[in-house]
Amino acid sequence: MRTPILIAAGAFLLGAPACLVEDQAHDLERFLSPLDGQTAWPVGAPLTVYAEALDLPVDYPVDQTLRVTDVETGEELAGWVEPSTHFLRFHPNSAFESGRTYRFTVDVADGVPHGPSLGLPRELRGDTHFSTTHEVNALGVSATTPSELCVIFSRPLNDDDVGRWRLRVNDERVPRVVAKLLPASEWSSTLTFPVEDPGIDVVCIELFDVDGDAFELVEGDELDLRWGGRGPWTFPLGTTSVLDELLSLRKGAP
Amino acid sequence: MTRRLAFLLCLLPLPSLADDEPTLPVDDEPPAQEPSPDVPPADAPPADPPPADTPPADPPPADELVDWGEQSDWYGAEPLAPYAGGNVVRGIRIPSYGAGTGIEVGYMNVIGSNGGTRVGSFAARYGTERFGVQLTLPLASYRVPGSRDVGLGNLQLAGWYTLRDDSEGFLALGLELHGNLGDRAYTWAHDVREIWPGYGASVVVHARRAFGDITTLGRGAIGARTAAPYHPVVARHINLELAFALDYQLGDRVGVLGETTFSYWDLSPWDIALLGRVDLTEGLRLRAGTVLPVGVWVGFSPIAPEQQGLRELTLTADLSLSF
Repeated sequence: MRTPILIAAGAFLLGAPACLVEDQAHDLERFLSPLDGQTAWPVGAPLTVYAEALDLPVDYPVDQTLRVTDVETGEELAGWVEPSTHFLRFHPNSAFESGRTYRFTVDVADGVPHGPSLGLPRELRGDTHFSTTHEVNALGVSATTPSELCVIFSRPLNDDDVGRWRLRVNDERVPRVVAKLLPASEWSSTLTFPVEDPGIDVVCIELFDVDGDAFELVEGDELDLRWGGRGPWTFPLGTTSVLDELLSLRKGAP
Repeated sequence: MTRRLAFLLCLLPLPSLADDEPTLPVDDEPPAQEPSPDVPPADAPPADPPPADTPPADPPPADELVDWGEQSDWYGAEPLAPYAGGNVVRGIRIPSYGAGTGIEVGYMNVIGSNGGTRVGSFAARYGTERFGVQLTLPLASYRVPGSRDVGLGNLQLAGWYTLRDDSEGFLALGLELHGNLGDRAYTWAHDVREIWPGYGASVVVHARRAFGDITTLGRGAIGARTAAPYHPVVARHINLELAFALDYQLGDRVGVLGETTFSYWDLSPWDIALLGRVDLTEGLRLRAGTVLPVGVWVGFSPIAPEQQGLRELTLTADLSLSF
C-alpha cells in the first residue's frame, strides 16, 4: 500500500521543478525588435530577441539561431549572434543596406537535447519582416471607444508625414475624421525598447457622421484607410487594445 | 532528513565485498595439507639428503604461484595480502576504488534522437593498499543550436581510504570533488557533474564482496554541488546517490555486470547500466556496454518534456591499464 504512495510522491518531487519552469516561461517579458513590419530601421542597429525566461549561458554558441535574409535577393546576411542571459542579438557583419526589406528568422527551439533548455517562448520563433525604407505603413488598428480607432504605424512620424485622411467602414465613407498623435507615454510605458530601436507611432482617429455625431463602430467592421498617397490599408475591426496589437506585432508579452 | 539519509545508507551492503580479482583466501592458519603420495609421512624417517652435487630443482613457473596457502618457504614467497592492485570490478557510477595505479581512457556516445553528445575521458590513478586517488578529465563534443562545439568537462578528483580489504570483502570511504577549469561545455552524457560546468564534493561509501563467480557492489554518496544556473540544471543542490551492481565472472578473463543507480537531484535519477568486460592481458581491461537512462524514459527528469521518453541511450567503452 505504501509503495504506490512513495512512487507517486517521488514522481511529484522529480517532476515539479520542470513544471514550474514551464509555467514561468509564459509569464515573463519577451519581445522582438524590430517588430513585424517596422520600417525605417537604422542600418547599423542590431536585431534583438528578448526573453526573460531565456536563461542562456553567456558563452553558449548560438550563431546559427538568428538569420537575416534580403527579401529581394534571397541572400542571407553574414553576421554574428551576441548571447546574453536574457536576449540574443544579431549583428550584421556590415550594415544593412538602406531601402531594403529583410526577413528576420528566429530559429531557436527548446534547446538541443543534452543542452540548456533555452526558455525561448514559441511565440518568438519564426519569420518577421522589417525594412530600411522610409515608407510608412499601418500595421494594425484598435478601437479604443465605439467612435475612435487607433492606428499603429510602422515608424515614428514626423512633420513631413501629412495628408488627408480617408476612411471607409464597410464601404461606407466616414464623413469626418479627426486624427491626433497618441503620446508615446500612453502606449509604451509598459514596453521595453532597446536603445537602438527608433520605435513606431500611434495615431488615434475620431469618427463623426454628417451631423457631427459620433460614428459608431462595431466589431467585425471592415475598415479601409488611406492617408495622403499612402494606403489603402484594410483591417477587420477587432476588440484588442493598442497594447495588445503592439504585443502581437512584436510577439511580445506580458 | 538526517534520519532518512541514515536509513538510505543503512540499505547499503556496507560490510564485505571483495576485490574482483580472483584473490585467494588467506587463512590465519595454513590449511592442513593432504599427505601426498610423493611426500613421506611425518613420522617416517628422514629421507637421505641429496648429494651435494645434485643441482637444485628448478622453481616452478611464476603462474603457478597463484595457488595459495600451499607455498613452501622453498620459494621464499610471502602469503599475499588480498590487495593485489590491478583492475577491480566497477560499474558506471560505482568507481574503481581499490584498484592499483594505472591509467584509463573512456568514450561515451549518446545515441538516439536525443543523441549527439560524445565524451572522451582520460584518467590517471595512484593506488596503494590503504588509499588511492584518481584524476579524470573529460572532453565533450556536443550539439549546440545549428552546429557543434567542443569543450572540456569538469576535472574530477576521487580519493578513497580502504577500511577493509580481506576475504570478507572490500569497504572504503571516499571523497569525490569536481570543478570546472574554465572551459565550459554545456552538456552531459549520463552524469551531469562530469561535464556541465560546476563544482561539488561528495562523501562516498563503497563496498564490494565476491560470492564465487558473483561480485556484489554498492555505493552510497551524499554531496553538495553548484552548477551553471541554466535550465534544466539546478544551480545549487544536494545530491543523494545509491548504486548497486552485480558482476558475474564468466571465465578467467571475461565478465558481465549490471548496475542500477538512483540519484537525486539529478537529470537522470534512475539509470541502468549493462557492461561486459574482458581482460586482454594482465592489467589491461576493456569494457563496453550501455547506460539506459530509465528515469528520463519514464519522465522522472527535469529535462524538457519533449525530450523525455524512449529517445536515447549511452554507449560506453573504456580501456584500463593497471600496474
